[in-house]
Amino acid sequence: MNGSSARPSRSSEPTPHGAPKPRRELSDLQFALVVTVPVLLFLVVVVAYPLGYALYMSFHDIRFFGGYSAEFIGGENYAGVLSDSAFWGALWLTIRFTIVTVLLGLLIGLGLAIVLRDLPPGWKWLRALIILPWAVSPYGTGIFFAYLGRGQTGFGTAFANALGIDEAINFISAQWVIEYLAFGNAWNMAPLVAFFLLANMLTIPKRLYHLAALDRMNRFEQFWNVTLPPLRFTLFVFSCILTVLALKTFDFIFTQTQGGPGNASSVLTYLIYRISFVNLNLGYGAAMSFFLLALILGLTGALFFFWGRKVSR
Amino acid sequence: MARIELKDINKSFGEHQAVKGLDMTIEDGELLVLLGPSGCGKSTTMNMIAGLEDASSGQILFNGRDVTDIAPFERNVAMVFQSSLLYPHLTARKNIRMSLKRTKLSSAEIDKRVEDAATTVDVTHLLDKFPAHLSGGERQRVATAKAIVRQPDCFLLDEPLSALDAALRLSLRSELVNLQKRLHTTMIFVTHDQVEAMTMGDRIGVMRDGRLEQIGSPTDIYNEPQTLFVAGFVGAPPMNFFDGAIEETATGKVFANADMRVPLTGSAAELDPRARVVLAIRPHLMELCEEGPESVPLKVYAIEQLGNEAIVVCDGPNDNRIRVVVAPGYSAQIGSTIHARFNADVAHFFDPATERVIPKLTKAAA
Repeated sequence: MNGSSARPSRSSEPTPHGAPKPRRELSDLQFALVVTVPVLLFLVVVVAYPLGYALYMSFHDIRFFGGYSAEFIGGENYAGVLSDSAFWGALWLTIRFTIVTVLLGLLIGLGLAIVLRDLPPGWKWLRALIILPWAVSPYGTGIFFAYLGRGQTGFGTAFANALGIDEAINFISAQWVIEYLAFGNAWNMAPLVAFFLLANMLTIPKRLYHLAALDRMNRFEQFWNVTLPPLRFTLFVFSCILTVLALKTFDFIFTQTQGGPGNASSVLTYLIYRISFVNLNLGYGAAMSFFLLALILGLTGALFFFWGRKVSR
Repeated sequence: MARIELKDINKSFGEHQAVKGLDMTIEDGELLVLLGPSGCGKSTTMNMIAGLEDASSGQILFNGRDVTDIAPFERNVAMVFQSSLLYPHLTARKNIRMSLKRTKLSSAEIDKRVEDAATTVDVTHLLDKFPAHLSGGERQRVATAKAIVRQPDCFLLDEPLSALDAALRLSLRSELVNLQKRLHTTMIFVTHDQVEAMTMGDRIGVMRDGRLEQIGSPTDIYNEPQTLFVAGFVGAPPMNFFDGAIEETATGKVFANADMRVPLTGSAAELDPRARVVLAIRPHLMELCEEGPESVPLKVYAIEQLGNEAIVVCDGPNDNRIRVVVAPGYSAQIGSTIHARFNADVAHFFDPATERVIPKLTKAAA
């Protein structure tokens, strides 16, 4: 950004009364400050302050009964989280949910992108239509998938009936609920992944496929050597995005299963919500949320360390 | 080694017919250049020879064997593409190896052949680099190594030099010809650059609108163009054209239009009178002269100094550009009128209706 955005306004054009007054232009630094300071202030208010307050709470025992009190208890909340079996259970569910979401999201996205790329000439408009699932709010997706998954109303039972099996198949069961939720979440995100992958794919020169044909590659080798390499960076970026979104998913699970059946879908965000806002154990909930933050930073950091450094050069 | 025959090849993309009734034979060990403007069907023809596209009808023979329906790799051809396409995620060495991956050769043999190919085109020091880190010329050499490592029966090159700068193009042009003569492998080279075609080809096939206009040695194509298109496309500076008629007069036949009357001498004297004819004459064969009945008036538009000669670019009588090659250092006022003449004996005559040449020796042949 150079100083041209701070060009003298119309009022400084020459007037009949004499030469225009020279206007001082903003330097690049001044301009940068003018543009960013309000945003930074805003971020301090809406991010830094709550984060700092959460940190403060996590070292205190906060009580509402018998009058509000906050008693400093050091690292006791953190120690408590580490010895809490509910935390470890929720952590495992969160990781399972995240891994399945990322894998399904990328796979469905890749599959969609390939289908959209190979559409026959009269069907290209489908490319525009396919973005719709992404436009559905997680809240809507949750309700939608809840009905689709239940034994009474879901497609599992419908398929079973169509095959002549008289049995209700419930995906929202203790055994499969996490995978089912991850599937719904992936359905929500996959179109966006597909769009970015499709944009990448369309930049691959057609001649490269000819080269692969002359080199006698089969379809899999062709996919591996021609189609996939230019997609690697996009796949990495979306792994990170999907990882972060999956780790912090709350609304989707809240509307669909409320952490159930039992505690089978009580992921970390849901557990933290219950501890902090149902049981009003704010200090303990705040401490647990910092473990979630560490998990998010750790996983995305690991992704970058083991994968991102290789593809972003 | 392969002798390639194309027999009545047609190719349509929906409504659009890209190649129409193409008959052509490429001799074993020959370097044939397919020359034509973009969209003339030359790349499609090459794709069909490689097997990357199926011909809509017709036959392709390699050494007499019908390969029309055979997959690309079974034809044992190697191709170098425009902008020297390589797999971007593989090093130069792996790119070259990829040509042999599906052969039954042992890993040691493959290594040896890769080394040999790399030595042939002088890229041994580049083998462990990625395509993105190679210059245009280096990429072109690696792509060539990838082609020759296969020891193919035929090389197919699709405008491999068009993305390079002029100096590099000049040096790689002769390198490729030298390589082809050394390996003595049939090579088909597609280009839209007539200089490239003239300098490289044993023979040139000029294509337009999916048809082969003319095929022959560069000298034939240059000296005996069979159609108006070939006459105008080949040669730099390009051919000059004059519309007119051939008339019979008391003193002999003349080429006549509103501006000039040129007596037909030599072989041109044998042409029959006709109302409409296009006369084509190379700029080198015209000379400046005083105003006279045989000369054509020209308005100077620009002068191009080439050092060893100069080209006067003029507006001709029908608003077409006429070029005359003159001695270096020639100068004239832009916009001034000059006069030029030529000897009709060395001119070409075309029928504007068919756009084909009017043979000068009709009577002798008959």
